[in-house]
Amino acid sequence: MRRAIGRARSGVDRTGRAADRIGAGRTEPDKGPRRRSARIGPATVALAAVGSALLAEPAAGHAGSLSGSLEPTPVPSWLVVLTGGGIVGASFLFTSLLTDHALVRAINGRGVRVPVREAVRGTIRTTAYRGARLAGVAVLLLVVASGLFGPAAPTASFAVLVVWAGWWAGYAMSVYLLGNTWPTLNPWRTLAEWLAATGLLARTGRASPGRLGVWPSVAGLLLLIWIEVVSPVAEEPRLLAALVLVYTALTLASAARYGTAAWFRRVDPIARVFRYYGRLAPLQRTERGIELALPGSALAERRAAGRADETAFVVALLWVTTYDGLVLTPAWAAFARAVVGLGVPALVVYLLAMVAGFGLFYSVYAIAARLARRTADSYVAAGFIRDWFAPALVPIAAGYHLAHFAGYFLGLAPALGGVLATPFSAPATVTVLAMPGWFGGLQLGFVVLGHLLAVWVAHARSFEVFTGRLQPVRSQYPFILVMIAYTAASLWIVAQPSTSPPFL
Amino acid sequence: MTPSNSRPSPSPESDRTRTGRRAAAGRNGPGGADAPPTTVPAGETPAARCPHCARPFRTERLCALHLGERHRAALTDGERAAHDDARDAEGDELFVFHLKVVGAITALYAGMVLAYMIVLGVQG
Repeated sequence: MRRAIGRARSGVDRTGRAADRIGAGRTEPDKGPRRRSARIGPATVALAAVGSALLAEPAAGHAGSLSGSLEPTPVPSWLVVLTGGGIVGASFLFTSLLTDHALVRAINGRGVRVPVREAVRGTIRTTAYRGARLAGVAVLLLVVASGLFGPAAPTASFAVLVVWAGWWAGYAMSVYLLGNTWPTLNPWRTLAEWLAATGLLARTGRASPGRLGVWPSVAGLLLLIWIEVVSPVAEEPRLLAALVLVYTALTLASAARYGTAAWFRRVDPIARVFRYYGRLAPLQRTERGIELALPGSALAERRAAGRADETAFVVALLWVTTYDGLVLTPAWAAFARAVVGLGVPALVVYLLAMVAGFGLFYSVYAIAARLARRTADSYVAAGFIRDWFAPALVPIAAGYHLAHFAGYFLGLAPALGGVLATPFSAPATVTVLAMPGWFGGLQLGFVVLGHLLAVWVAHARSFEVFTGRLQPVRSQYPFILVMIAYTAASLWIVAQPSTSPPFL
Repeated sequence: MTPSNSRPSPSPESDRTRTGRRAAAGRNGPGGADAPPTTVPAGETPAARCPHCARPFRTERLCALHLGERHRAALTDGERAAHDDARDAEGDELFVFHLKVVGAITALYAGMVLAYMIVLGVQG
């Protein structure tokens, strides 16, 4: 297996080559970027773009990203890292000036109900709902069929473009920027419900998935991202289709075994990712209908504290973004070569790093919660503090997602539009847009914006659980320090020249 | 529930209905924000405990503030006076704290400007 992967990757500079092509503006479908800059956790490329736009180091390595055409401005990387941390720290200082709990809550409580007329509710809504569900299933079928029988070049492949650019980049953005539509569109859920209704896969009603809590979800997310990093699933349509088929089979079988609602509510990692992202969105579904509120206010107002495993999932969401970027750094390459030299299989190294990094992130966050109990001088249980503030991590994850994928999505949007019309044959030309120079700055802005929202959400939540006006602010010290450290680490990763991850 | 000094604090209940859209749901349940689980380290006696919900506090002042925030309707005259004193004392401390915050913002801003001036100056 390793050999196969190695062959697929051989001699392809991880980011450089794709970026050159993308930068070139137009590519022939048959010669399209083997390494669609994205597989890389499509993400990391754009992450590199954040840096390359702002870093002085003559962008030797990371020029090779979606932003290959950017001109680096003369600011050294340490200063960018420092500035990122400084902005996060300053945002905390500013929010700590606002200690009027009623005002904090009033700000988060602002919102209007989106009026939906009864008539619309009745007919049009049902039709739209059914249509959306059908469309979801149709896209899934097309992805599989096109992946198996369509063009093999990534930038000409309906499957690759729809899954990575359309869905994982573009659609995910719509979830946290607008609202969570995944429960309706989720094709696996629709299929599972159909199968259950027709009795083809009757629920066997055995063990509930509840025993293990959300941990299977956490493991599923880590596993999916690991597969995405170590296999060429983002550039080989056949492999992608196979993965989708396997995922479909597993999901449908599990939904049949545990019940559709229980499976998608508790275990399915993709549904959970979108559910958490959706809580950041301005459009929220409530008991009283659809409400339009400030972004993040649903996170700030969320009353439940969650549990340790739910916190772990949010942390995992954050970690996988970082991991995606980390494996591209020279430091990682040196480390991986050293460890593999000791005789450890490369895939195991990648897997261990995935698990160990997640453990590290979770531990650091849990320690911060324990310290918060001390800085706040409070008896509130450390575990409760940890789970109470977990929703504040969602905007950070979304901010990085947006920074990573906005340019990637926009750049590939014309190609995506092209293949939508012809799922089974390569379009005559594939257009890939290069992002303008200021786009890198915009991406850094998204990262910072995510952190600002996180600071605000944590600030609002601290007033719900702690007493008075000073204790809530003091409870935030450890979290802010961790957040500054995380910002700095992320920007450091960005500042590294991108290399090809060894042994893949 | 923690309005500014100038305004009298309304009762928690009325405050919730006024400002919280999704407010009441699950709020008062055990383990919620109103009654978070607490742990007191072995061998330590809390300085105060809320007479209504038994929540322990490290200082008398926090307990008095808590009473005013969460159990305002059930306050005795003595508790009300203790709450007002605690709020005043906290207000004073908050003022000093905010002075430090403004100082820190200024220092951070100045530091950033200087750093950029030096770096860009050296490079330019």
